[in-house]
Amino acid sequence: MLLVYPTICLVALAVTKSSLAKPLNRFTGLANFTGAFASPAFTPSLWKSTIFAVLVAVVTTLLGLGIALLLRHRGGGFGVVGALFLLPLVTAPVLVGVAWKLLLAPVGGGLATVFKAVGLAGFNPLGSDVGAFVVLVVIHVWQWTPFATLIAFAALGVVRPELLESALIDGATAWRSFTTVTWPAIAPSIWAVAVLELVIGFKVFDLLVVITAGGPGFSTSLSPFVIYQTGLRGSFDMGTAAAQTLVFGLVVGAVATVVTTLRARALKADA
Amino acid sequence: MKARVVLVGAVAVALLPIAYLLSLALRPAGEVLNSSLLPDTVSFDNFVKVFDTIELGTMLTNSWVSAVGAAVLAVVIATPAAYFTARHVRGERLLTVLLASYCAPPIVAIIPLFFLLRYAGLTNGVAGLILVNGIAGVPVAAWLLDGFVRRIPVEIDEAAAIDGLSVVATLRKVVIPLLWPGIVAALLVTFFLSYNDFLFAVYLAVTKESQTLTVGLSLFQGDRNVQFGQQAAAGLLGVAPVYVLALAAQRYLVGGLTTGATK
Amino acid sequence: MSSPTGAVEIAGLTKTYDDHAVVDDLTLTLPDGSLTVLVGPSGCGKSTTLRIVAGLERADGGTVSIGGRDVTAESPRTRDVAMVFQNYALYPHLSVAANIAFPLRNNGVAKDEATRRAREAADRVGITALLDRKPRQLSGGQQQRVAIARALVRTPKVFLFDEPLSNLDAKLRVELRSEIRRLQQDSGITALYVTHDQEEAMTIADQLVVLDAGTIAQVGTPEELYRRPANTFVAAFIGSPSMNLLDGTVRDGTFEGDGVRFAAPGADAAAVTLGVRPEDMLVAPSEHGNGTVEIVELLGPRYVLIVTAGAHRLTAVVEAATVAGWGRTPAPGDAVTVDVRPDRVHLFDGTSGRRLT
Repeated sequence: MLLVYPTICLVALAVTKSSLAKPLNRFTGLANFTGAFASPAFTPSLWKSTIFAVLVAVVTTLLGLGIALLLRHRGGGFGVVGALFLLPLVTAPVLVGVAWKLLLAPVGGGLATVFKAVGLAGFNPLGSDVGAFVVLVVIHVWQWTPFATLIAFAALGVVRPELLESALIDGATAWRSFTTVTWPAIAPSIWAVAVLELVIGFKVFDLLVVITAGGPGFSTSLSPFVIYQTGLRGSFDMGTAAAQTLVFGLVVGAVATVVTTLRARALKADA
Repeated sequence: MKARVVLVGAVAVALLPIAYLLSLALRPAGEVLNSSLLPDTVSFDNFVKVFDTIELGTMLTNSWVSAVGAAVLAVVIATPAAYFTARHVRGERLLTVLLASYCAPPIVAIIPLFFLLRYAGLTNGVAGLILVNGIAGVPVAAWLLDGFVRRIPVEIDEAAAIDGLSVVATLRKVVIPLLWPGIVAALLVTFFLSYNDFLFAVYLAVTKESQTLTVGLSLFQGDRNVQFGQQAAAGLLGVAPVYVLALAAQRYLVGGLTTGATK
Repeated sequence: MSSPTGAVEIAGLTKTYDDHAVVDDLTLTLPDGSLTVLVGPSGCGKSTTLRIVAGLERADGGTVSIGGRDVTAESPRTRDVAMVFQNYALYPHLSVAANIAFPLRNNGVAKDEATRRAREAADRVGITALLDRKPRQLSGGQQQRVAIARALVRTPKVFLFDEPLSNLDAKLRVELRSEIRRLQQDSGITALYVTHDQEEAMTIADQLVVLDAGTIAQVGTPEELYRRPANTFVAAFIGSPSMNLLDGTVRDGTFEGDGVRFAAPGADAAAVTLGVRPEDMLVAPSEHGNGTVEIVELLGPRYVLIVTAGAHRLTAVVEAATVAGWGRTPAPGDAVTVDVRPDRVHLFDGTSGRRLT
């Protein structure tokens, strides 16, 4: 029931000329949709969002798995070390943004001296298009890898120890053990994490507003941000914003479906 | 061992920005951009001044009240829901639908929700935030609790039925006491999600009286003369209790996810 | 096919958990090609010892040598041992054939060759028909055979068995244990076998070792341990039903304790434990006997009678033929005479439990 109402509302808004003050003003058919695509920021943002989401999903999942393996290897539970890992995850995005922005500030930033020392004086990643995008990726990965680590760690707990022992006695190397014993047992969970990270990657908003405000230029204007600009800033054009939201929703759905199919295929192949 | 070194390195990377925040908060305004990770002079000024610059007290209260309220609301709805999804055959489908609704970027729902709340007069108030964050948190809470309910053997339900208890009574007297660790985990997770929420708060609670911490922190951004030190101080004050919660509760979180991950 | 260098030497092995010595200064030799069984109650350290020989656990003290080579510091991978686990430890995602071939593939054996040898091993345990199945499609007994085949497919220096039959039902256990014995003998490979089932231990062991709280209570052939248990612990552990143990004194060739008197050889002793196996008890119906029947159990060819005599509850095994000679089936409450064959009596020191005769 929570899905239906917003969806209907969205569709209604999308096909009318609406503004924040005067919603559902006039029926305009698909004009908003064409308008949406016409906006210079929107269509590119779909690409950027997709690239961003896929990238962070892959990196966080792999990194998370790696760290979880290390945690397991050293024995004991998740423990204090694990809990320390969680801190980036539970820190408010606004704070995250401020901290990183200041760390990376070219003049007077926390890491400025470090950059100078490695010969990168005046390094300003946030100043360039690609740089800002990469920084955004790094920060998101920094924040969300702990989530993947947590789930991967829990998944690793289900692997039967005697299987690992048996593999060891049978002469398996660490890699062989992993592919034969560990991976088949944790694959479903790891795929689930990948899908979740993908969706979370699509939802990035808070970081965008705080760190780059979509810039420089449009380089980090991912779709949620563009939609926000359209509907709640600038022209307050709710109609177009709604149309954009629907389109974005479709894109997310499409990418998610692709990944889920990949996952189903991979799991079947393993079993 | 090589593994230890890597782990220590990873933790260092994880904590660096947070430590930097602390260092920012501990230095006087002029030293914010001193190109160093450490303050030149340590001062606690920021922690005091921050209460004048923004309504930190109000904001903290708003954040905590709305987050706790949302957590409670989410769990109250999710518990019976999870009981249903875990025990009944058709429950699986409901769970998938719930999860799917969570996967939709909140941006999607913001616009309609804004109108809805405005219509109901719930904008700019803690109540509205509780409602929205609470309902948004139901899928996550239900997913966690579902795993926990599955751990409880069906035989217990059957014994209760034989003893003459209705479904509601079974839930109340038998299942919930056994479900306690799961409920704690779900409360914690939904609390974290609501406390750190920015999206809903920035749209739905814009007045000075109703703003939450996350919104308040973003206010420092707009000014020309950004008071980073104070911002950091405010942020740390807001987030420190959450850190403590996280550290104390990691056991429950891992436990909660282990049950889910055995699928 | 035997490997002449498979003898195992364990010397001074110690392992401690939480200040508690699970294995305590254990020294043992496993002769090449023999099957040694480690037996004892839960917690006696038998599994731990096996796992230390396997390399899955590190000892806190002592050494392990396989084939003359000190392997104490080595990982299981280089020790050239094969192990059969209690819950089979089959790789659920591999077929039976792939499971069996796994150890070979890890050692660089080519796929065709590995498949051929896997098939051979499968033949030897009788599961050729199951090669394409997955473990979850097999019964417990079949899974354990796969585990055995996997151990057989290489020719390791030592076979290790960690309570391999404990998860199977009684009939399967009897069947499989003789198969394991046969396979081990045919291969001529040294084997170390752990079980808590003393009957299993007795039937397959070349060398039987009874462990008591981390130390060896006795080592020997099953016959030696049965006929001449070195102490009360072994005496009570080996043999089913358990040996009757009575405390008392010996004077002038008579044992007396808590209301019973038997003829007993040996010198006078103030504190003594007399042991007599149920099958060596002499029970006969009698009007003025010294005992009363309490429980009667029929086990087909023989009866087990629980009899009270004095302050003792004694177990006696009587052949059905003998009972037939009594004319009627014994029933609870019957009066009987209870005696022992003096040549089948064991005497142990009353305090230390050590054998006296």
